[in-house]
Amino acid sequence: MARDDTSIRRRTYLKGAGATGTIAITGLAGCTLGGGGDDGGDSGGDSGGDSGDGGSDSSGDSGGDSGGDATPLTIAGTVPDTGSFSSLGEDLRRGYELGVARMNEELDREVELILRDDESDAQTLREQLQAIVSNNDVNMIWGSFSSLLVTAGSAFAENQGLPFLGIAFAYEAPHRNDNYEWTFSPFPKSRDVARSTLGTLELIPEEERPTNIGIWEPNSGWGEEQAQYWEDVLGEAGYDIVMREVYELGSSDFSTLINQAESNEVEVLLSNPTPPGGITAVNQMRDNNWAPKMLKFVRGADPSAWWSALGEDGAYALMCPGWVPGLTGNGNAELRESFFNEYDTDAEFMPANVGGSYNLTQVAQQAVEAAGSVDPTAVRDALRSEEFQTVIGTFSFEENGLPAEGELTAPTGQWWEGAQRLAFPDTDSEQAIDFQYPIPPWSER
Amino acid sequence: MVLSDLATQTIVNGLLLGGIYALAALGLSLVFGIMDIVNLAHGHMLMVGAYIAILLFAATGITPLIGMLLAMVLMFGLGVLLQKVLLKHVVDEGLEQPIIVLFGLALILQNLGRVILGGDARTADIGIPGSGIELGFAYLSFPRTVTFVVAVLLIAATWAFLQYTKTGQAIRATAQNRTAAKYMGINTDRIYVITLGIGTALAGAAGALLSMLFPIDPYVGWSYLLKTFAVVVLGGVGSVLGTLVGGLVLGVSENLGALYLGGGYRNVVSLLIFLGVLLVKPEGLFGGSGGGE
Amino acid sequence: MAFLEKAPGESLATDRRVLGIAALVVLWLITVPFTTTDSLTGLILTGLVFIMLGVSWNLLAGYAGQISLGHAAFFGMGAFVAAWLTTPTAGGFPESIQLPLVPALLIGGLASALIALVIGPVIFRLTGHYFAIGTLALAAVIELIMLDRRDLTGGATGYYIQADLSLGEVVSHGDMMFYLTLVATIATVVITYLIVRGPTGLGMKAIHDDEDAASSLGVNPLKYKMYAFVVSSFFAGLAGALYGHYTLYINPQSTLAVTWTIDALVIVILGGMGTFAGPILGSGLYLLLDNGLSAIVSGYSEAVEGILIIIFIIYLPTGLYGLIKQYVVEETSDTDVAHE
Repeated sequence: MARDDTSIRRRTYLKGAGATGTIAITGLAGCTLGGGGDDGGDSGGDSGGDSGDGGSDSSGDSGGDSGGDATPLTIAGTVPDTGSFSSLGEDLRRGYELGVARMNEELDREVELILRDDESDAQTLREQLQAIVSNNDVNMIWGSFSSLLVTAGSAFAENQGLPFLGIAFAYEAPHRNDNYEWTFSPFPKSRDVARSTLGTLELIPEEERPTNIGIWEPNSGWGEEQAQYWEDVLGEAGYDIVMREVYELGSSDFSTLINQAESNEVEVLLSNPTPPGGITAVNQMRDNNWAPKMLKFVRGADPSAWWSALGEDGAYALMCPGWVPGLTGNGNAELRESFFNEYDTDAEFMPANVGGSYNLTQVAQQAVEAAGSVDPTAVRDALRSEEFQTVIGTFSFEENGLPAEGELTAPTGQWWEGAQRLAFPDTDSEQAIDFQYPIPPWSER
Repeated sequence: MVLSDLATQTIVNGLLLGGIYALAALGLSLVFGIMDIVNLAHGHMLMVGAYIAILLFAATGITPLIGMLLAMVLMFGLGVLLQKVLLKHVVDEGLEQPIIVLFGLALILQNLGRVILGGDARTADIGIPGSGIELGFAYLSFPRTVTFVVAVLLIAATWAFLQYTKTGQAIRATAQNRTAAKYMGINTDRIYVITLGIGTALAGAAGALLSMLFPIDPYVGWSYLLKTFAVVVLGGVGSVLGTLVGGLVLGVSENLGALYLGGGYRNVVSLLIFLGVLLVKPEGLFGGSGGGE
Repeated sequence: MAFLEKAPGESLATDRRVLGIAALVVLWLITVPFTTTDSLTGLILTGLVFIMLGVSWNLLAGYAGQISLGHAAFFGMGAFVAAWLTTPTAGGFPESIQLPLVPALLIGGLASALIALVIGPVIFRLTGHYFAIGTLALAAVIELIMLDRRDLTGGATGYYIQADLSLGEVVSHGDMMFYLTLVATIATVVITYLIVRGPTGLGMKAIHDDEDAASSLGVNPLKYKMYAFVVSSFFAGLAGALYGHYTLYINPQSTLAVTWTIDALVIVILGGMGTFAGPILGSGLYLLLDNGLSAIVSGYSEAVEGILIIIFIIYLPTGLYGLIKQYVVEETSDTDVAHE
């Protein structure tokens, strides 16, 4: 029922670290004895992991002395392969993999990404990052999925003084309150999501445009922030906020919320649930024979699992995953080509989160190129000063790691015939779609 | 679409849900009343039953209503096995040992659920055609109505079994006084085996019904354990009728709590009612103690 | 092999060899931060937290006989209260209540003890099964309320603690926390030892063995139950505060999760319930199992734990302690085992 029991699982205690732990000790000893610069000894210690060969090769080449240029870029990261965000794990991983392959081609240094499963759990994520960073010469960290996990990774990176990039992370408050120095989020934030929602509504001809907005607010910090932006932005534009109810994140009984929405005559339903929560909510809307005219589930409708679980019942739903098929320029064509070359799939459209995580790799690459080194401070300074061109747009960062206000347009996608396609902003790409409105009653679907 | 009065609709939803809560709690109540064991793995047994129905549905498209029967048969077997292999060592051995053995079993079931099915929440569909009923003052959702009816039928069947069959009467006699039952020639070991089998089968049935309404993941066991225990405390240990009433009360109070106090308090309300009753009247609101402490 | 010879003595704890080993272990622990990686230091720190959890739960369950399934609530509340004091602004408190780490940790423990003091007289109206399940429900209520109070706890997003103790490059925050945890663990073990060896411990054992008989002899059961509950909750809260300030991140759903109760229970069962050294041995075994198992039977470690506690409780109710004692100490009066 309504309790989110994802937390009731064994902590993993540095799974794998248990196995590589002893190797890591010898690695460490080697390091202190040899004193071979930044990378020498430690990458030997990593041989239990993924890249023993690469590490020792490069230390041979550079002799540990020549410093900067050929130092490999070693990135620690986690993805949610299991747990409540598991449906996203593969998409994120693929975007990272395509990006790392491109980086290895285009950068003059070796790029290695060490990815582990964080089980969609903040505590596990932290332990996994701790284990990777202890056993490797990590110079950058990449985030996971959702505000919960990305902020956990970010807190770790801030503590370690390593540049951190995180997507699927719209929550703005941590950027402002937690004195971020190392965290950068190349991703549309809550304010952009709210503006994108308004833009989508304005695609509807004025005489048909709905007025009654309902907001289901998850009881997280981001839930509150996003609900507040929606209420402010849409309220200012003249819409009526007829419902704003808090519910427990991880809840699985939405019947009361559905009844409340129906009784308040909600036409546009906005929320940012977890993916399983969003799917359950739509199922229960069908069972209760109620549907809004427009439905936007930020994050909840992001994964491909949305369609595999709901099928046609999932059509019309809108999401804001940072990137949607239909965006053009800034490497979108190359991304599409490499995706369909690399992965054997019958699908016509790419999953949205592949684009989001690919965009992150573009930022990482451009930052390292601009810095001319993998030194954390140099990379951070490059992140602060450069302008980045990625598949989600062209933008720079504010000091606190937010994308500079107004530079990013959050694309809104819509589920249609099994794919997420760009509904707002209007582009003429053939992967985009004309916004489908309204959602018909269940009896007519 | 007719707009229904929100409160009425909420109460109706609560009643429909409460029927399944009652079924989910019945097995726990019987085992507690008759064997004096709190089955800490009860919620996890429910999860296993749900997975049986979900897997059958996913593989063949067979409705979980049929899957429920399969779940009951398999879970009855599990219960019998559990009693014969493990619990016979510790039943009547005091408090700690059975609790800890069942705690261990809960960990095992949870782990197997995760390894075999992954950590993701899964759900089944009712899989038969039909539509909800508009009553004017409330709308009866189709799957919730079907699951409610099935749950109440199963509760009634259990009641009739205990009331009118010879085995049922022996079970009740054992619950009242196990020493006396032994003198009367009742094989109490066999009664324990049957009781745990029935209790587990009922958990499996409730799980299969719940799989049509809510997503199930390997970790749902703990929260269902608390909910079902709340029903047992509300209804009185070992009482079939009390369990039904307790389930309905819990379902309604949860939904009203979510409506008036906010969604975050859905479970807080039920747990507070539970703790309150536990402290004021541990034998249950609706009297009859079938054994227990 | 003199070490393996049986020597007369009442218990392991009075055996000189045991004291010697304990001293060696403590000495080794002191070197840990300098000889291992950060992640291994963290792992051993977790082991120390386990000892605190196990020893404290054992006092309540093993000695006083009250099977509480709500230990996680005290662990988590200790963590939250301490976090509110070291990082007040994130919880919406005024900056002025900010305290240095060590007093904050102690107050975290005291807050847990206070909660126990307040709810104890109520919850001890329940006995047996009802007490077990009532404490489980109580912990769930606390978790849900804390989860709902985003302003105080960060809700589902969690709460980031600002309390970096690192001294330059050499001693990391983790290392500092390790030493604090080590000191707290030793204090927990010593204080608990003094309690169970003293008259209070005897009172607890008396109500554990037979509450009615004890109370007819003039022992007030509630007094001893409360004593055990409050002390046990204090150490659980202290353990939570330490762990939270090691990870610098807490979250109602993981810091207050039933997982911590499970950990305490498994540790005590494996080590030997109602025995003094049990939880300490159990923590070591558990740490090995949890990590070792994940390498060998990856994914099944939880099931193996479940199987182990079932086997232990049925066939080896005195746990690892009982097993070792059989080999090392000659059977004498069995004062060390609270129940048979």
